[in-house]
Amino acid sequence: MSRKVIAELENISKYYYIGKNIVVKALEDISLKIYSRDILIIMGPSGSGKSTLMNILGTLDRPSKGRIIIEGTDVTDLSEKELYKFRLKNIGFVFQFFNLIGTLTALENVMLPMILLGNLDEETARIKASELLKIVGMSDKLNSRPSQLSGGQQQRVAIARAIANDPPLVLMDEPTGNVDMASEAVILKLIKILNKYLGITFVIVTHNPEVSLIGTRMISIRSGRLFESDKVPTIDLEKALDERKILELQLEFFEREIVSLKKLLGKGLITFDDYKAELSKIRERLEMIKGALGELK
Amino acid sequence: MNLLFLKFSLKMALRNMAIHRLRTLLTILAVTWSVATLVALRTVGIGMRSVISQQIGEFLQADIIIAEDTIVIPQHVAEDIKKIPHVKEAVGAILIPAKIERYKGTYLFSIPIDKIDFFKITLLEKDKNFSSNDVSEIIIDYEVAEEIGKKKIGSTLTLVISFGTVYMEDRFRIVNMMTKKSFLSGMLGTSFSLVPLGRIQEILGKKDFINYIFIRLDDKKYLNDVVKELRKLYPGINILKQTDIIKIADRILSTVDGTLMMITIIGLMVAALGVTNTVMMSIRERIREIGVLKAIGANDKQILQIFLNEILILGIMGGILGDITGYFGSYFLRNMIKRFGVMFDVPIRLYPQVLVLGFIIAVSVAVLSAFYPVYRAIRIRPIEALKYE
Repeated sequence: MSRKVIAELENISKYYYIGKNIVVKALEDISLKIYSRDILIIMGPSGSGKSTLMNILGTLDRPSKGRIIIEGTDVTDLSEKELYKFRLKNIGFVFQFFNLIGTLTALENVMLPMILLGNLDEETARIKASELLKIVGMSDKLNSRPSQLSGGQQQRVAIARAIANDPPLVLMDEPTGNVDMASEAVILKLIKILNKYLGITFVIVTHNPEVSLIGTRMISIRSGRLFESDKVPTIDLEKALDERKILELQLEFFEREIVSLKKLLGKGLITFDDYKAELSKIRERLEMIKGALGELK
Repeated sequence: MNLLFLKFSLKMALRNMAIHRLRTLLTILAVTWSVATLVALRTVGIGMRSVISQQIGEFLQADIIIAEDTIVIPQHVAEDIKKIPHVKEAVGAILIPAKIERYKGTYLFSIPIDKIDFFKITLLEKDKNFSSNDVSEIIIDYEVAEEIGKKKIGSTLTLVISFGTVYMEDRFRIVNMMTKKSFLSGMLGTSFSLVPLGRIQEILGKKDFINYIFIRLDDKKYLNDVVKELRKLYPGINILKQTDIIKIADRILSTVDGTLMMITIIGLMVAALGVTNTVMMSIRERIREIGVLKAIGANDKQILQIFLNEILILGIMGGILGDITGYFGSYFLRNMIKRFGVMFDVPIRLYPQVLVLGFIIAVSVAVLSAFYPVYRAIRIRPIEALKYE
């Protein structure tokens, strides 16, 4: 069965100009398709162009040549204003240095993308954010500020923030680059679970070989050119996090989502068609989770 | 408008200000100080203007003054002027400089003893007047009396008159004192004493001559007609209208106001620099945060909102505190002015227009001075902001 293409890069090049005569070719004629439910690992040494590729894919930077299509939208020529909105709905970011907003609590950090989007009321956003924090195992730190959390905990909040608006694509730049080994295992496990049961596509830039173990595809980048690797190793992370607990939390979360959706329909905030579309997505996910729980038994 | 985001961004601004509370406090103080200066100076300025206009009118009690440097006006001219239509009263007087106890400068205001009521001078002891027109008697300022050695009513002092070719020293008995709220004393910054006209004419050898005539009309609307008539009857005389005097005082006050305004502007500039500095520091520390917000999808307006909240809080707090401090500071300023020798009391009132002006200026200074750093911050590309160390 052919899988859906989430994002596509067509002949992307990126040049930087130093003075009038020197041209640095950061990316050279790169084409890449990212499929739904991929965990795409991009590896490469410093200066290989992996961060540039990530920025272009995340619409934070524009290519010098080529086109980018994400979720069927050609974003290459979108205005900055259109890109803000596009990112808000379609792309989640997780950074190496977590980059949580220091003045906000963990819960508020996760609520922030929903509030920026502005299609949920405060209470619904709060409930959704706390569910997400439960999923990442941070339900006991809802009101902690980033400065009160360890690196691994901050990164888990950052992951919850990245998926707050249910984006199909999450981009991660060295997600375990600044956490200890125990936290690294938890984060990797989390990525795997979110990919498996929420169907989120991840693109992870790293130079850490351990991170590459959770990937479904791996790409090497050298001197601005891509090399796809066939071999995708796997890792057993079962011990890192209780999978059953997470699945149960997700089950609870999606059941509440259905209730919120009904409320939104009742208040006339969404159309019946949107309601039906969202409901079928949620039911699909619920079925997957129930199936996975059955397998665990 | 996304009200939920407004609430959220307000929370972010308040928490950021609480984290950097000393910096926030100092910036609010800078805005408060400059607004307080403005409010205090304007409050005292308006008060001073009103009291001076009122006191000129009250004291002079004259709509027209004929004034000459030398004593050349025959006294009967005052009587003749009374016959001009709409002239209610015309009083001849002599105003010359003199010295009390040989060192204290004063202006001798010599008037006929029956005309003392014309000037509505407030006396310490009511109804105590000169015994006759030709006696060596004097009414002095209460404060001057204190200054020259606690002189009391009934005691005497030495008066030195040196005018033209005349030099005279004589003992004068104090028959009364003016209360300290005497307008001329305040304005001239020197003492001002009343003496009987006849005695001064005798000393100067200018019997039946005067150098001032104070004219009061039955209706001010005939002012120009009377002035025209006076010019016709006495070509070349020096005529001052009360309105002219008020205008002169007003012009002097405007110059003072202008100078004070310059001081205020300097204060405001200092406050503006303070706000610019605070906002620049706040932005510098949060460039990565701006990058993150942009990356996750915050638009320029939403980022502007976050910083604008902080700036508005600084401006509003500075405005309110500045208005309060300025109002109470105007009492302090009035007392300072008094110490510099102005003896009248400036009324301090709550002028809403001054408070509104102070508030608007505080908010405007905050917003304008933060404009450039905020503009730069929201223009930064997310990728650059995220790289910022």
